[in-house]
Amino acid sequence: MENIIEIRNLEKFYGRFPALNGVNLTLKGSRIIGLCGPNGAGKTTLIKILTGLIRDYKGEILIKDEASSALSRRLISYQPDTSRLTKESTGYSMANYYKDMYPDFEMSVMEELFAKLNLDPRKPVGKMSKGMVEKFQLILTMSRRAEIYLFDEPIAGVDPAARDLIMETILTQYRKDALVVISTHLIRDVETILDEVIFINDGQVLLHRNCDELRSEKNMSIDELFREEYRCF
Amino acid sequence: MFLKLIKHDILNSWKDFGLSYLLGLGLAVLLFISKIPGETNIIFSLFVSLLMLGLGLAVTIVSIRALIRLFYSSLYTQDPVLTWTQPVSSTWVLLSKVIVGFIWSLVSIVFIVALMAIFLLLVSQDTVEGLQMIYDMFSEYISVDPSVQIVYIVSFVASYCLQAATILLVGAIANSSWIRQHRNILAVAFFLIIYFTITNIISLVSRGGPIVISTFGSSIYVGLSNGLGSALLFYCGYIVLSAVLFLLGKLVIDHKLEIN
Repeated sequence: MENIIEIRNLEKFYGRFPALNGVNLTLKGSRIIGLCGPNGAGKTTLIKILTGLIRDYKGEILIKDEASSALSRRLISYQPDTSRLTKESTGYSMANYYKDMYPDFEMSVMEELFAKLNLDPRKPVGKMSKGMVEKFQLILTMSRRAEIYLFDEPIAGVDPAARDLIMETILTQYRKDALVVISTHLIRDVETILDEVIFINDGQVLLHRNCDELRSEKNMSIDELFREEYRCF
Repeated sequence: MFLKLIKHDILNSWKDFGLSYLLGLGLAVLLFISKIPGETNIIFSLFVSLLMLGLGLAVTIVSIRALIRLFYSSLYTQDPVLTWTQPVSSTWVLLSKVIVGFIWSLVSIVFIVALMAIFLLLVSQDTVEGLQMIYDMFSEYISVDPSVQIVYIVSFVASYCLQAATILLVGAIANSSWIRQHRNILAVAFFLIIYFTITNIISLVSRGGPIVISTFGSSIYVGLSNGLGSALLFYCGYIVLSAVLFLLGKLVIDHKLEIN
């Protein structure tokens, strides 16, 4: 399986504070990877660098062997941890935008997901609840047949029922040869769908392993291992 | 892709600019229709004058707000994730804003001219007199030396470019890794410092610019201090400076952008 993302010696400082400090990662396709760590570990910074929202860093990032650029960004479907939508945005207005900007956007998938998640595509974001906005963002992200899906805390702040629905949607809709990275500190809710897990803390990668191998080696779930590793819950 | 970017910038800014212009024009036309033919008294003229003044002010405020939203908020505070994750280079993103802003600036001018024409029709005794006043207003402009008219148009474009490039540069600096707090306030401060420094230096060096306005009794004379060639060269300098600021803004975005 080819390398989709290669990160070499990545460093990012906020002033003197190291948000990422010598991160090296190689991520391959056809995998769902959990990027796990406590708040402030560097998960969001890493994802923002991959998507181009943070462009001042040291190190090298290759996306399908290309340096990170506008061209490489076309491969990424990204769901941020905060809303990226204005209050006036509706399903249809966003569909028009996505159709024009992303050749891999599929209108039929979007309509199907709106129906499945019981959302009205004519309703503006300003009139939606927080959970509905999360679902709306998920629909936009999953309506693309992207090669890379990056989710930043997709289930934080929604109720357990909505969490299940979100995870199920990701699992059923993503392109099977794609790379899916889910950043979260709610390991228990995502553990069952993960192929690999990355533990990150203080801007450093502590561990990057296959989930099944890790479970049998440590004889505990990823969630238990996470709690033991960080002792923060 | 670039044309699609422009299309979406126009669609996104349509509500900010277009709707308010249409409302303003609609109100003015409604007044015109409701006016009783031949009856123009002082109170009506005063009322119309105040209303038009209000409309003019409203348009100015709406335009400034909409330009700030187009050049700053859409890039850094309202839609930064959509803007900076789309598969388009920063040059096209910024250029699209400049072009769309220019289109709306032209529409603003057309709107203000239309407002003035409606105003003249409203305060005149009858439609014929009103049309004559509008004709006089335009013929006064047309009678100005054509070279001055050319310079006026070029100066409008050049001033627009300088303002747009300055806003884009200060937006890029304020939202870079150099600054992490109070970004919006600092953007305003940077704009005021950079823009007024540049324009004051230019004004000092060029001794007031190439257009000379002088009065002889009640008539106003508009001319060029050093001929058309040097005036155009002067505003070309403006545009070159704008291009430099634009490229600096693009460089800052490409290497220092940091969206919170």
